[in-house]
Amino acid sequence: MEALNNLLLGFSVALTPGNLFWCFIGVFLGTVIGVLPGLGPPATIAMLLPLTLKMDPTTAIIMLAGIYYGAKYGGSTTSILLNVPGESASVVTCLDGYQMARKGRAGPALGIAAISSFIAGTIGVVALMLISPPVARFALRFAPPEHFALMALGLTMVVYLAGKSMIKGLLSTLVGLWLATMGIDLFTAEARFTFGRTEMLDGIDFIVVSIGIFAVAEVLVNMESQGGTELFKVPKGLRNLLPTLQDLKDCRFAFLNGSIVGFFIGVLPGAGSTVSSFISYGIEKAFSRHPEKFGTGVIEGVAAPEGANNADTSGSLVPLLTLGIPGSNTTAILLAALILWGFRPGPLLIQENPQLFWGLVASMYIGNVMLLILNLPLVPLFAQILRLPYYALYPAILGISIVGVYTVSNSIFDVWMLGFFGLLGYVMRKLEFPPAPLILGMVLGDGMERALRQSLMMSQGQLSILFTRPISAVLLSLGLIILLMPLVSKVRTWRMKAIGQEAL
Amino acid sequence: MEKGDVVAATVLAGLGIFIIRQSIQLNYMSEYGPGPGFLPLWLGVGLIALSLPLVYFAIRTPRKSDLEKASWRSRGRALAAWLGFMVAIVLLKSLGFILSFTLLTLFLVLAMDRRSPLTAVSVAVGGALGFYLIFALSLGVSLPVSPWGF
Repeated sequence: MEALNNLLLGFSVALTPGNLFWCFIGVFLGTVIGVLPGLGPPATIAMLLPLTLKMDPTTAIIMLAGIYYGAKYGGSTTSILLNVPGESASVVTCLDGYQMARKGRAGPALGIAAISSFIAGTIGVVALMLISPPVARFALRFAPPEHFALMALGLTMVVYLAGKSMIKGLLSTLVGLWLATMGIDLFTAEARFTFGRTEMLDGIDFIVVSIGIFAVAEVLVNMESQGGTELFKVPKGLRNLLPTLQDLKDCRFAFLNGSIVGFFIGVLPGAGSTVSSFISYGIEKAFSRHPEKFGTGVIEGVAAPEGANNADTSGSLVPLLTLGIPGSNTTAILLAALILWGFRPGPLLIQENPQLFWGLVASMYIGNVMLLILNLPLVPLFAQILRLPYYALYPAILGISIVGVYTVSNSIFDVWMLGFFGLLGYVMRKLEFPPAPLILGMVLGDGMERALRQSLMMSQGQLSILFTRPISAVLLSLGLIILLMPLVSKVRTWRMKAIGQEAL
Repeated sequence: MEKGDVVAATVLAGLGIFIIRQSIQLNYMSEYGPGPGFLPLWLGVGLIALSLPLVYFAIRTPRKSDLEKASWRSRGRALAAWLGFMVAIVLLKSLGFILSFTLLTLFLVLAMDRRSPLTAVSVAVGGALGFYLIFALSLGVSLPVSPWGF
């Protein structure tokens, strides 16, 4: 009953004309950037973040979240029509989606992607609504030691964000933590790492770093080469996009599989929608009556991963909104956005700002309906975006980046920093240093240092306070296990190799 | 040997040394507990400690193939685009956003993408006009302006 009342409050917020308009703008922009390969939600949200500073925060989060889940809908279009995933989460959609397009079934493939995204997206929002409040209530017992342990646990998510090399991921995190220490120390008012510049006394703005290493670096990477790919024709008319009754019957299990797998993998910070789409595809194939046909253009092979990557969005909002832990690039930026607007993402967020949380939840129901309407009849229109010349797109992204950074504090110095972080982001990609851990370190660094210092003040310098309190001990142990897991699996691989060699 | 990783590890270890040197000048402990130098010091130590295994693994990694080395040409393109971007930033104070952005677009479309001058001018002027109309006029966002007020 309480959830229903809260949801009604949410709808009273989300259904105001202003919020409806910005929700539409968010999901529309999300679909557009989802369609465009090379421009992802983290870069777009980072670019648009400065423009939301003058907006009502609830409206702003509704719009930014719309971009996040909207991109998941759009991502399938290029996977199906070009065999180029618009988003990393749509990689697996290429396997059967592109084959369906080659067989002349691009319409039903695009249609089932939208329907599956809608079903799983909606189930995901229901789960978000039911699971978040109890998680947040539990986390209300947290004092500074528990907060420190929680943030340290958040930092261990680097294991999942690190990519190929854990060492590089950890180094990225340390650089992010160092960037977070720049500026005036809140406890002693001493300046740290300001290089004698007054502009640095407030530290480096998160927006400058995120736009630089995501948006500018993305343009630089894409500028390395020229050229385009041939696009399959999108069938015109709603009837040609709708899957048949048999198609829908074939996808019954895929809808459920995508929704459940997507949501629960989304809750696990760091796992990400790419993982959830692959796992749901694997499950679908494992339980299929015709697993040998997967990869040749079966409709369940599109429905399951597309559902999973949408349900994943709601799942990933659970740790973000209840514990303040971001598990992906995009949620790391959303976390920074919440802090920037003056909120304290964590256990108190739902209690202190019910309008924001429930307004967002309700807007996601509405946004999913908008996306279904947008993505079924308007897919041919969105596919035309792919004809937009890249030589016009890249200057626009660089221009928006400059405007976005300049808007924060009207400082040309910040724009210089943007150029520096753009190059840093490019070099990081070339050397395969993951950018997400740097953002994670920068976002969590400030709060983690504060919680650590407050904890040590409480215990008069005794580090044992972090290990003797049950919740913080459990959280730190969990963090340690997460950090050690890759090492254990590596040792196991070495042992298997050694046993194999001995057998030879 | 993976040269890029060795260079990266050296730079990061250097950064670690710099951070340690700076944090030594700050208080490690204060009367209220850890001081402002506490966390940075350990971050510096961490950077140096993690750079060492990076060098170790980089030395053990076999050299990349000639095909991968050939991508230096594409890196040159990215670097040229970045330099163009930086020049546009330098010009922001003297020319303002609209003119700097127009020049940047001309450079990217004409020199980098080898499009016709007509296409380049259309994209540059259209883009600049779009920025002015959307950001300055509609949203009231203040764009960097030149001493002449535009």
